[in-house]
Amino acid sequence: MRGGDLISLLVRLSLLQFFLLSGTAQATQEHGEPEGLVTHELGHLFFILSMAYLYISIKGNREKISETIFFLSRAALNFLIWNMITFTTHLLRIRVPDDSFQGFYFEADSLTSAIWYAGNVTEHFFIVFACYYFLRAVRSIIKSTEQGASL
Amino acid sequence: MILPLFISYIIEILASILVIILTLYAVIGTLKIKSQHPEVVFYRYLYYQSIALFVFASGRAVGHLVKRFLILTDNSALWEMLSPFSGAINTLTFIIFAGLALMYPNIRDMNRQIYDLESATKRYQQLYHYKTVIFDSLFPALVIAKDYTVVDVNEPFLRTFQKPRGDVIKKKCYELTHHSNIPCKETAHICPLQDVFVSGENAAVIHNHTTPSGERIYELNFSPVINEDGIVTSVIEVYRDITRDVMAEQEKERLRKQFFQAQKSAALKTLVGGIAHEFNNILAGIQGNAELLLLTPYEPEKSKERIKKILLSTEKAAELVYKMLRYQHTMVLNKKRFNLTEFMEDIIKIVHSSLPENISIKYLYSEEDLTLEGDPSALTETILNICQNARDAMPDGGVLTIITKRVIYENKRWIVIEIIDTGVGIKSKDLERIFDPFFTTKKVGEGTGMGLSVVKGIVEAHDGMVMVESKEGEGSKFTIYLPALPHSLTDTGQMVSS
Repeated sequence: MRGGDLISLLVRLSLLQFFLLSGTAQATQEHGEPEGLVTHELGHLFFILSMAYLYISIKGNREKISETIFFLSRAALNFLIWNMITFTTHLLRIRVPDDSFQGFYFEADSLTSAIWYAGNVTEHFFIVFACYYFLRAVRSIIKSTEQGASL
Repeated sequence: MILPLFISYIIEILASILVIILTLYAVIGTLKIKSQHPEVVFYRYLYYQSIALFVFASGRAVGHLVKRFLILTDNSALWEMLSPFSGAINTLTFIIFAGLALMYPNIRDMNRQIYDLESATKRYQQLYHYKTVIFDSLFPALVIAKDYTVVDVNEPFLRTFQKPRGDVIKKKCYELTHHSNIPCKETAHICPLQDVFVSGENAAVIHNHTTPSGERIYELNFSPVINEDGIVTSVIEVYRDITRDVMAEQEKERLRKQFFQAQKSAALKTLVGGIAHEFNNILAGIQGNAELLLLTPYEPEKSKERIKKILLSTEKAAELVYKMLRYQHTMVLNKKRFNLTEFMEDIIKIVHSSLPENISIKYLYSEEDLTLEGDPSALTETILNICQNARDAMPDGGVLTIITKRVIYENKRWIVIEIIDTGVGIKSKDLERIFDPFFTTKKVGEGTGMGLSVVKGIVEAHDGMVMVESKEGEGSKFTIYLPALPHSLTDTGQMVSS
């Protein structure tokens, strides 16, 4: 299924939900505290699915991959890993007690805390690489078009 | 387990800065490419994604930095207030980024198009590299557009004229090479550039140009660059420095003239000496007999004899004058068309009758059409003269071979008469002079030295040429080339012996 088709499906399902399952949704709705985290986590999930879809679309292609698309696939993979880590660390953060933070030190008294700490440190590497590969993809396409025009 | 949080903070700060820089570059890059190719939807998506990523990265980085700053400065309450906004922007932007990735046009088609573009670019890069290498390995060269603007230049040109590329490109060719403000066509300079643009054919011209190393002579070759529609888009002008060749040619010409002058002087000395000697002999005979007529008493028989000798001397003098005139080509040739094969048959008979028994004659002729235009009597004299020399060169006998055929020599068609003897041959030092008037290797009284010079004169009067090859002790070969008539049939006929 193409990206455009998926969006179109999501829009239709939303409209269907609006008319058939409206209930109290038409009234002003209350938004409790965990909603922010849930929304954010859903956003991450959407991001993960989107990058997975992009990565599989590229890698599933048996044809020769252009330099641009190759870098784009690397960017998608790094974004995907970064999101999986952040998705996990957001969830784990709830279970990490606040008193574990002692100034410039962190007391990891459980496996959850240790995993959270590791995720919090490593996620940055993946987003940097993701952005780096995204830029490489952009630069590669610029190089091709500019050189093609200058020759 | 106590773990250092500051490592995490340092990584967070560095990563945040890096992400901002990377995404900012991505925004600038995609903006550029989107502006250049507004028709490509994919580039637009990349641009929007770059913006989303930049806003996300900046928001996240600023959020992280502000958070650290506020917590460290005991302003956690303020951060508690700001953090939902930072988080909301963060969530929104990465959803936009992810959504745009889902909206990409067919990624496989896109990949194919970009792959083709990249491959074509690589191919063109390679071709461009070859072109540059070839172009730079030529003589100095310019590529000139229709409006006389220089669109490309090679390294040899820049080196020769000691100019930076920027001073050449986009300049008018006449400004560059002739320091003029108007095209050469409107000045005294001969330039076929405009003609090449019109005709699409190569042209060449010789020009003098001033270079930093001085005045040089160049052969300029103009080659059109024709596009697929057959239109001349530009012209490649190649400068071949022929200064050295021209100088060498001039020096060669000077030496040739000098040599020719020296040869002429030597020939003139031989000529004057020969005439003086011959006429002296004749005059001595006339004078002696005339004096005897005067001094001795009149005796009819003896006086008659002496008068006969005087007349014989005058005849000899007349013959000498006749030969000299022949040599000078002043005699009018009575040209007519005749067949050389038939003509030669009569000549062979005459030659055969004049040869001693120890000399055999062989005649080989081609079955081709050997019709030519010439003076039969002059040519008879020519052939008999050479045959007579051949006979004299074979005192102990030998074979005299005469061959007639058609040949192509120096891109011209000729009828050739070869007269080959097996005699004593000619010394190599004499070979150069045998056609000079009054030059002879025969004993005094046996030859006047005018025979071969007359042969040369007659052949040249027929627009032909005569050549000689000889080896001492082995014999000589005289080859007479006479122009063939244009209606020639074939050039490869069978040889027939007679």
